Amino acid sequence: MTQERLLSVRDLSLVVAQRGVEVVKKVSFDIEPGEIFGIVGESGSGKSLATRAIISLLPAAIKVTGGQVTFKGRDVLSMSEAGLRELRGAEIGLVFQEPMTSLNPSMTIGRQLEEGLTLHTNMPAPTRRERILAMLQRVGIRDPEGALSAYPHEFSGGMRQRIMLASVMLLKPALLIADEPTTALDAVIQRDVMELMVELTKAEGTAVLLISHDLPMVARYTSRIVVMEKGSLVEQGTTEQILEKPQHPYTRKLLSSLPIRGEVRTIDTVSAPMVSARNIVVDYPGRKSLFKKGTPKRALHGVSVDIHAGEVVALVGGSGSGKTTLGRTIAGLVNQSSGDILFQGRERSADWRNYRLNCQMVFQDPYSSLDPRMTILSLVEEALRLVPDIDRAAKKKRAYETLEEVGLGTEYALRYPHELSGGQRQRVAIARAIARRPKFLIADEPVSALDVTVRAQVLALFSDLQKRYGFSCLFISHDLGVVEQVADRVIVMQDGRIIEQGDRNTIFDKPKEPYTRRLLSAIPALDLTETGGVKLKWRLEA
Amino acid sequence: MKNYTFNGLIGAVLITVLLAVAILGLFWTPYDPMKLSFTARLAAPSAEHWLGTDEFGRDVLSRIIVGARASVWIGALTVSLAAIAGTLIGLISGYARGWVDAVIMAINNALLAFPGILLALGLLAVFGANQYGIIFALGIAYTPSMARVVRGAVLSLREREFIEASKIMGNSEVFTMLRHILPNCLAPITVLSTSMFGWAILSESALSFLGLGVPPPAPTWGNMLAAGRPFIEQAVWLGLFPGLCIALTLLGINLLGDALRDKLDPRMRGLK
Amino acid sequence: MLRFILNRLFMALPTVLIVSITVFALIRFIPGDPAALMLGDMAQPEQIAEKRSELGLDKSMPEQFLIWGGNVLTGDFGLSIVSGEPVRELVVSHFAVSAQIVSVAVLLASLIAVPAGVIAAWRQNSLTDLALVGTATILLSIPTFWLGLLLLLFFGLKLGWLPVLGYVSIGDNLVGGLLYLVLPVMTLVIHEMGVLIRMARASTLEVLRLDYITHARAKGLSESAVLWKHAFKNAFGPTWTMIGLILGNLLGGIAVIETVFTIPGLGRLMVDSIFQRDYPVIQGCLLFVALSYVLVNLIVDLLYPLFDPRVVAE
Repeated sequence: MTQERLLSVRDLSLVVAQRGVEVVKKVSFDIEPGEIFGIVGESGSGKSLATRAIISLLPAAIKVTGGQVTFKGRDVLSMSEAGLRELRGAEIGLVFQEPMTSLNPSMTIGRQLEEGLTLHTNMPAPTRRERILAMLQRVGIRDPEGALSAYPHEFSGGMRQRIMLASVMLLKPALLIADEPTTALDAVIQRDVMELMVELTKAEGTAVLLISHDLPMVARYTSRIVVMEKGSLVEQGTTEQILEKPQHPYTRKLLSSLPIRGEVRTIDTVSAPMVSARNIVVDYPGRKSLFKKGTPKRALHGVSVDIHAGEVVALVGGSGSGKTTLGRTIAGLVNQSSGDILFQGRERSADWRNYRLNCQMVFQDPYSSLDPRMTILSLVEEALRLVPDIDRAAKKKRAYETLEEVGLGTEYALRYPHELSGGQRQRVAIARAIARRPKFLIADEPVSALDVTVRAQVLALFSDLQKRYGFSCLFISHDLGVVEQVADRVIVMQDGRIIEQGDRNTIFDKPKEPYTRRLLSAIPALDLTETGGVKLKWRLEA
Repeated sequence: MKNYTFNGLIGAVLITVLLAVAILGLFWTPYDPMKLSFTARLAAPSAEHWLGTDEFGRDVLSRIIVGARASVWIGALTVSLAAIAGTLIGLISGYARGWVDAVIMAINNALLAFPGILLALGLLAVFGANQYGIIFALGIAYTPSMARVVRGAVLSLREREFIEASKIMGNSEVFTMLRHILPNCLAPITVLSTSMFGWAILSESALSFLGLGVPPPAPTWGNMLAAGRPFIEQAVWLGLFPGLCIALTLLGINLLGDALRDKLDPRMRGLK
Repeated sequence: MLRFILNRLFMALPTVLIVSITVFALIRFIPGDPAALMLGDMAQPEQIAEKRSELGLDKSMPEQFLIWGGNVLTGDFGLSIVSGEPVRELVVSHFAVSAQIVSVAVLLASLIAVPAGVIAAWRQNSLTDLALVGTATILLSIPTFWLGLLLLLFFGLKLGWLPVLGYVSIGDNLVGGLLYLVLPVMTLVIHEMGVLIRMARASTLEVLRLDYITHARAKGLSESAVLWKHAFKNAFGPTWTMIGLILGNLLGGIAVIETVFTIPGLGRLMVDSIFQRDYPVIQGCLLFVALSYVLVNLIVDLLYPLFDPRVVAE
């Protein structure tokens, strides 16, 4: 007896009803029982919408215009609402990206988990309770009894995602659709949640449809992959084929956009450092209430960093590690409780004006870092406002030149930020930061809000400019792949302390601390193949 | 979304008509709105008096046209007063933070604890029941709402990275405030001012209806309704037209306000 | 939980204090000497001076405030200049009438408008939605005093179904009393429905696009279960706050309705006192309504965790 195909999508097309724009174009793929199948694409590729169509949960504005979705031999698109409801949850489960919003904030965990069981099974209440407790135990919730009467806000993001998994897997669906299930989580937690998902689904024989922008992550867990671009399916095959012998130009572009290790550069570390932070302690005031004086929370426990001329130093760590606080303290946005910050050997407070002229910053979110009411040109010109010794005309000329340098021609000068794409906005932010020709640049997660291919372009631009102007840089990132590409030296932080530092190759190839090793285990080492693809090597597999 | 632009258009038309009528009233009315005529008392609408006459034989249409002027004038001055004072207080409070903010906001919240037109009623007792008394009373009563909205906008803007970017560039606090914060507060200020214009017109007519607003014989829609009230059984038009004018004006403002909010509220943007 | 309650209670204290100072100051800002006013035009300077010291007006402002505040705390709001009755009794008896009308109106309006708003949001952009939102916007734009006049004209004068003038307390005559309440309550219900439908719709729309709603659907729950079990409770929070605000706003603005229907409520008492320059009564009304409003909002706040447990942790 041949095994029945689990899911078959044929020529699926979706449009935005009112504007007639086709967002998914004739997409076809099949999923076999128990397999882990990946869909990879950047934002706007239509990957999420295509998978929502599988359980007919499209936003009201999106309409199916053609194609077929067959699940276990049944035509899903022509099913009645009642038929779909029997399918949803019981046969097909759904896990979302954002653990903060995917659980109902006003309902206890216990009731939310029970809902599916009550609906789809006729288990008696004690059995349901037993099953829920066992499942919570299994996904690693420490106090399952207590969790039943707790509300979602009492759990961290990683824990909530585990609860989501528990909620979906309780019903042992035949297919689990996981839409960017770990994107919002820290690298280390990301890996734990993925492993848990694979383990649970394997045990129940559940097939997984894994949707993500993160090609290496998808490749790690899947046997087959499809690649989507702008609504079309451009390539499909086994994971190995796609990675090593990509056929379609877009797949190649996606692969070549993956960060690879940059060259080793010689940095003068003998001369005095450009910027030196010594024993920085930062306390955030605790929340004050009427009944207690807020107990301050220590974010940095005496951290010291030196950055030499022309050196790119990366600050890595998970959320709460203090890396962003350290960057903001050095930038002068946060005041340290104690410790000194020296610029070119002098206390920076001795000449703030000079420090401000020479220290600039690029922020993470290009949607929030540009004043929405200013034109691109005036944004860059503003950076030159306080620069002495050049006149108005020269400033305007410099602004235009700088925009040109970041790849934005004159036609962009009079546009507003909302008329630009995310990548273009980040270019403006970079232009604004370098217009003054600063000696030192702080970049706080400058590319983590960008799509894979755009990220590669912006990183390339950054490296070019860094080489041309030779500014020192403190590069803050949670993404070790990016760090491997740009950094000369790496500093690993955890819980407000530096736990390990050294030049890039040493940290990446011979990490000492277990935490560093765990961080590294989440990202692959890449080898380029002659066929335009890559070979992934997962580091330090246990 | 389409419906909202259509509704916004209706709103804009209604408000334009209101403004046009108010301006017209400066130069011309069909009859002298104050002229008594004992022969034409409580005359029903006719070719001569389109909207009829009141208990003193005065032409209702003429009085409504002059009433529009009073409404627009009082509304505009009230909103200007509240918007300027509220914006100033909100900016200072949101930017200073610390105890300055705490004190300003404590007073602000206490003033907001006077519901509806209560504070205006209390202030009217101080300023006296006349046109300028109303403007001051309502202006002061609305200032706390504006201050709260502006402060909220300032606080949320302060979290935005472009404000930090301005600091990194070495710009002074005052420069940042004027160049980056104030312009980005204009959207919520505009939306609230539009609503306030409606509140002011409604409150003015309510106060005039109570006899605490613009004193007769000067016509406002509110005091026309109050004066016509004993006669509505014989003369329905006295109760009908001034109220209809208020309702249409408020409808126009509400529709326009919704359209503005949709257009300017960043939360609605990108939600096509 | 206890911390949350105590915190909210303490947060209301400065408001209460500043409200009292404001009410006290407002009355002191009124031009003219209260003592002279009380004694009339014929008073001799010595009489006025005597009255001033009797009223404590010769003391410093902070002293006067403390004396006044102390009296208020013990329930002594002074005597009406006009009638000589204790202000507290005047205010309380008139307040009972207004509170009856307002609370019944808000309850009825919520019961109709909230489900209507939720359904409009659920059927966003459908004909039902457009009709509901359109009606709500029109209702909201009709001033209550005009609506009251029209209803009075129609049901009272033309049809003669309901009494036009006057008021009978329900305590004295249940059925008769209720008849007098129908029109004012109806006026308020119609108007506030407009506000509440729009509010309930907006907050439901906000919730309906969140992931947990899609997740609830993805579990296989029916639309009505998604709407009422998952969306409604979360969307009700903002509407609940709005109901509190409306309740207070109506107490503050009830004067116009009481004028239209000649009801002896608190609003009418205050307006009449302004005409008669009966300052102790104005002061009593202002303070009483403002403090009731603070109390209503406090209760609304304290019950909020029922709809959103997150506010306790905050």
